[in-house]
Amino acid sequence: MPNTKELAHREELHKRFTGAHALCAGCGIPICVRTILNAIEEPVVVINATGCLEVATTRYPTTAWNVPWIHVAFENAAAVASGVETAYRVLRRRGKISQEIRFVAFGGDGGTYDIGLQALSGALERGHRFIYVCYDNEAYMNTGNQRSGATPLAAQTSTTPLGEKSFGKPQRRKDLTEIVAAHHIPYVAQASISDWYDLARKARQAASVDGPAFLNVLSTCPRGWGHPTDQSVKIARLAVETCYWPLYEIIEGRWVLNYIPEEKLPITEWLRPQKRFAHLFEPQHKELLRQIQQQVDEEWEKLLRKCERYEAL
Amino acid sequence: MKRYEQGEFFLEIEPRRCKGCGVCVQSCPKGVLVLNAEGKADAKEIAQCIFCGICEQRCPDFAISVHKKHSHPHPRPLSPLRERGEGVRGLV
Amino acid sequence: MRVATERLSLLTGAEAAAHAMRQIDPDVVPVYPITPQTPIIETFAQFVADGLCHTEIINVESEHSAMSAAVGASCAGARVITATSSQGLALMLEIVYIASSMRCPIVIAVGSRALSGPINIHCDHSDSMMARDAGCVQLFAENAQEAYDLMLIAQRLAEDHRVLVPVMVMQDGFTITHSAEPVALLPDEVVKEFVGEYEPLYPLLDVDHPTTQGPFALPDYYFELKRQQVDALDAARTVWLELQEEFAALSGRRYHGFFEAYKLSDAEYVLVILSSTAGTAKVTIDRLRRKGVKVGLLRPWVFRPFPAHEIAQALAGKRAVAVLDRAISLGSWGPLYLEISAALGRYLPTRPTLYNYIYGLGGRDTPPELLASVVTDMQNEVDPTVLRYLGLRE
Repeated sequence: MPNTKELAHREELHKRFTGAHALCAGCGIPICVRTILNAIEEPVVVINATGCLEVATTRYPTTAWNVPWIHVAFENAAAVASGVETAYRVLRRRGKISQEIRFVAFGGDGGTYDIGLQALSGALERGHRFIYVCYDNEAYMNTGNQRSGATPLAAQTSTTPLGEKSFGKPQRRKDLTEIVAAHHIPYVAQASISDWYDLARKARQAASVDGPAFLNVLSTCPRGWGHPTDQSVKIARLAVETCYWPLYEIIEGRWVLNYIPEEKLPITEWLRPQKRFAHLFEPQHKELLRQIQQQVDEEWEKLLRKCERYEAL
Repeated sequence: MKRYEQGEFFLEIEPRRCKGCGVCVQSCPKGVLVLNAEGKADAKEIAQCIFCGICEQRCPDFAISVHKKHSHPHPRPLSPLRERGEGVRGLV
Repeated sequence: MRVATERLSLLTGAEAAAHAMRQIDPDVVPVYPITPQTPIIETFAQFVADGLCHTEIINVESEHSAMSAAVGASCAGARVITATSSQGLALMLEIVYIASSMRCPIVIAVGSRALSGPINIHCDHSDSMMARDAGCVQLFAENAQEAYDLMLIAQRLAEDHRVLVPVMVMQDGFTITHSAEPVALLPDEVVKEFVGEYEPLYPLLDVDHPTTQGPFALPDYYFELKRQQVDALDAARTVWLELQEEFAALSGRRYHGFFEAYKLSDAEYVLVILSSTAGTAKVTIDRLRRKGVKVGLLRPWVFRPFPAHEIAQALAGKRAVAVLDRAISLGSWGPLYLEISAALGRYLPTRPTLYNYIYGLGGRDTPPELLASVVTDMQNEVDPTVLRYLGLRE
């Protein structure tokens, strides 16, 4: 199993993803990317959807990538990956390539939950051998924090602003991990940048299955969520400790829970440090807070019932 | 590049890469790191460092790394252009 | 166009294109069905299922994903072909522009069909005309033989290192895709040798030499990167001419220059038209010639890059030219007319009178009498500042 030393060592030998990119101070995305890329042993090719990661790491003529990397458009990372992976299998069959290569697609929640959902669904259904990683920062952050299908209920974004007639996003977020699970792929997992060992292990697992794998990784955004940059990892951890963002896997259709907090923190612990939820602590939003806690509780209970076993790391 | 030694180990911080986010400071289990007057990471308490590597793995900007002396593996040579983050002749 | 008389097969244009694909034996074919292109991919799928070629078909979930997968596979280093029409081309158009900018030599077979709305599955050229700015080479076939030939030539044209952009090969929907004609197929080995191997410049799968493809370009670089694409389309002119020689030697069929010149040299009146209706035009021209009218046809095979200079030279000194467009650029005139008009304006100090007729939209049939009426209009020197329509009930 990968540990920090091993990951660091592998990175020293081959820095797949480097610094001098333009991602914000304290951004959760590079933590997600480097953990995953260093955990995979085989050579990788990266497919990237339009978004924070792509824009900030490839301002022509610079690049932060030392692996083959391709970006085509916003909504098609999974379709592009399908093409790359198919080409690989064909060229391998024809004897033009001999080595094992893994294909990792990165997309933000915008490019995955919303505009990229069709391409993702198609790629999963066709069974291509690739890993799709969604770095979920819960809005279209690259363009200034517009709401996405992953934005939680009542969050303030630039397109669901707080106002006289509005308390933020009026809808709940959708559960993409569950949607992906419905495609019957060999490996699905939810992870967070706060639990890097869990994430690294899941990346390794994803790389080993012979078929599609999906990792939904919660990735903090200090600018969009409204918190100090040094709190990124801590806040991601609170998402896990409040059971808002549980860590679990679905291995060949069987649900496995990876972490049960010793003490399940109230959802307010997750909401309070983030400016996008500050309004919820005003007296008139008491009911909304109660609703949010109820939703978290219900989903957590459902998850506990679905999970056949608990496998900690 | 700033280097901080402690026995067999050393820590390196590249201030030009550091964006002063403070994640390393928060993550360090031993309180080794602070943000200095320039707003950059600094290993003020290097004597406390246990070289766990968490700061390195969590830094979004590859600004900090931990090493063991004398067993420094030979890194895969990178093109100097790439190291500086300058132009790569990619496909247009 | 003389067709070689040996080993003729009775094939629809769609089947002919599918045979070309079989013989080319591409690595990856990502496709999504749409009328009237579907028989191309169905016929090809049967070839693959019977082990007649080694292609992997990706049955994607939309045309947008078809072109996306095509770009991914092409950048990975594979030889890629796809097929579409109309709404499918519209849906994938975002990525077609990108495919050209990423220098992907993807061959795109198009069954020309009208764009919605209203929804219509029959032939016109609005779909390919919509894509004319995307940076692809655009070739138009008149019949099933040309549909076959141009697919083969397209493969070489696209993959030439001086070009490396997608090549679209249009054949008229239903009229050609679904009508059976005699087609001379080249032997498999001959095609294999003609198309050769695809040699990608920067394959993604070369993990020892990583590249970053499709980066983000700010105002300080975008313009220069686009300018490079201009050179690619220009190079296609040279490569197209080179390939004709080679293809003529193999097949006995010559695509001389950029257009078919039918009874053009001594013509006073000229019809300019793309694709299958040219067949009707030639019949009409023969009839009019027997009555002593000096009329001829100019039928471009290559619409992009537009052979402006060559066409201007061919039309110099003619009395009148009628450009027949099977598409209209709403708010302006027909796209072929606009190109011809610009070409004449650029190169000829004195120009023939130029007319524009819109015909055949949504599959409307255009019989010889209507084409003959165009010539009569030219003889009567009708007003060229009026945009006219053939076969429209006004």
